[in-house]
Amino acid sequence: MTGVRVKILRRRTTASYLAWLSCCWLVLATSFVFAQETGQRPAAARKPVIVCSTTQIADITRQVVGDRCEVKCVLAPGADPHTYMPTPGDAQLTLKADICIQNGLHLEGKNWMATLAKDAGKPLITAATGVQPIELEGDGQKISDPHAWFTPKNAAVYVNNITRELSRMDPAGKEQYEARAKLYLLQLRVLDSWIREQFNVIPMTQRILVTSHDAFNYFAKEYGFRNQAPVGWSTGSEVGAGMTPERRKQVIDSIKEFGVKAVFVETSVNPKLVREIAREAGVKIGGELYSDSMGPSGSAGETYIGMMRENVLTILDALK
Amino acid sequence: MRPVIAFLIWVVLIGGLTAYMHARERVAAGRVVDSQAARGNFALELTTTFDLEPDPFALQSDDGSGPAAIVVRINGKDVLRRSDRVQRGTQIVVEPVSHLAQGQNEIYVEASAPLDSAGRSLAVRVRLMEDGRQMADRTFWSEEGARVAGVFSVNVEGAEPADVNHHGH
Repeated sequence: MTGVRVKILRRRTTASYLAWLSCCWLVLATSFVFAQETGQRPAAARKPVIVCSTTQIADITRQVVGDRCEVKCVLAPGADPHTYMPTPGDAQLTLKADICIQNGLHLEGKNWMATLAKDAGKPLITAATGVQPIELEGDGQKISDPHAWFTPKNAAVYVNNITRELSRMDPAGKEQYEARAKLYLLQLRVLDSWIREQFNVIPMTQRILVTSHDAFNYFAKEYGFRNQAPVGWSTGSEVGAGMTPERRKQVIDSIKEFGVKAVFVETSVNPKLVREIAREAGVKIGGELYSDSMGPSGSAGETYIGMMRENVLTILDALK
Repeated sequence: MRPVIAFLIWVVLIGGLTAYMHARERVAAGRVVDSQAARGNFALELTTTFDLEPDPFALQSDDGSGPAAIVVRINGKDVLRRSDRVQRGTQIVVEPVSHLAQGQNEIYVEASAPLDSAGRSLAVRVRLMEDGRQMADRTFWSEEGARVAGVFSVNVEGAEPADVNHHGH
């Protein structure tokens, strides 16, 4: 009788071993398969945060990263990057960033974006790196014009810089970044071609662009315009920036001499000065151009391509 | 004795699972079948109606090579990549043609025109020759300002020059 009980106990012990092993096997197999599945979707966790200085840089970055990263912008639509003063909220925003992106070439007055990134200890990409700069004279000094994004060709340099640096930061996303960048670059190429075709109807002698501040040099050079502005390359107080009486007089003289049809105000600059000049010179205001900032959400100028398209149509409508 | 049996069962179960996972990966990898290289003397002839120029809107590669003016890929692999300027009408010949396989092949062509050619339609003619005999002849057109890009399939195995389909812009 005792022998039978011992046998039963032994069988029970063996069965419990097997049951225990089966449980272990199930747990291991499930965790192994689960680990493989989640390995293919690393983006399920927190998205990397990219903080950009201007609306243009933020839009170009969004085109490259899609929904893979969260793109934040320090400047609101319509804000002036030359005179912007960062707030404590901007410092908080930069602290949350994985990487920061600025235009560079001193567009961000007193290098406020570089300072924000440095104070937060975050890496900084300068999108305009490698652009062939237009040199401006100001108080005997040479200044590189920061408004390089005004040609799609230069915007393509921005796209390449942003794609390359983000691919280094997030190698797993490289293929996606490059695929999106390729599509966006094609769109920029078509935009450039479309601009050339549109301006073809304006005679060369009538291609004179008078704007609030000296932001359209790259645009003017690329598409055969002469440009004039009463305010220098920056609306701030840097060398060669701001309005001088000589500049103001020169602009009015040019308008009269060349029979300029219209002058333009800018979305990010106070229009008062240009309105005065238009009145004095006896020309109409041709419209409002997006310059250092894009349009608000929901407007036609809320993207880089939209902003360029609307500027071209505004200029065309006023000068043809 | 019992712990040893339990350990052996454990080894068999985990070992079996690991072997199964590896086998499954090998089967998945094996789906990419290496096709045999096509036999014969093949040549690609390309002619453009515009001057070729490196594309300033190209995505720049990490290896530092500049943007290309013309690229031809066969089955996803580069057989031609030129970054120099080439005058329109100049015939570009690729001979021999690598990466051609027996059976269906996909040929991708991409060419970049100067930016001031906006407003003109652009075209690239591509001919695939085998021992001087024309196997395929395709012309790709672009909309104004866009790059010329197109892809077509060709069967290099059969006697007939069996173009299956093509599309481009």
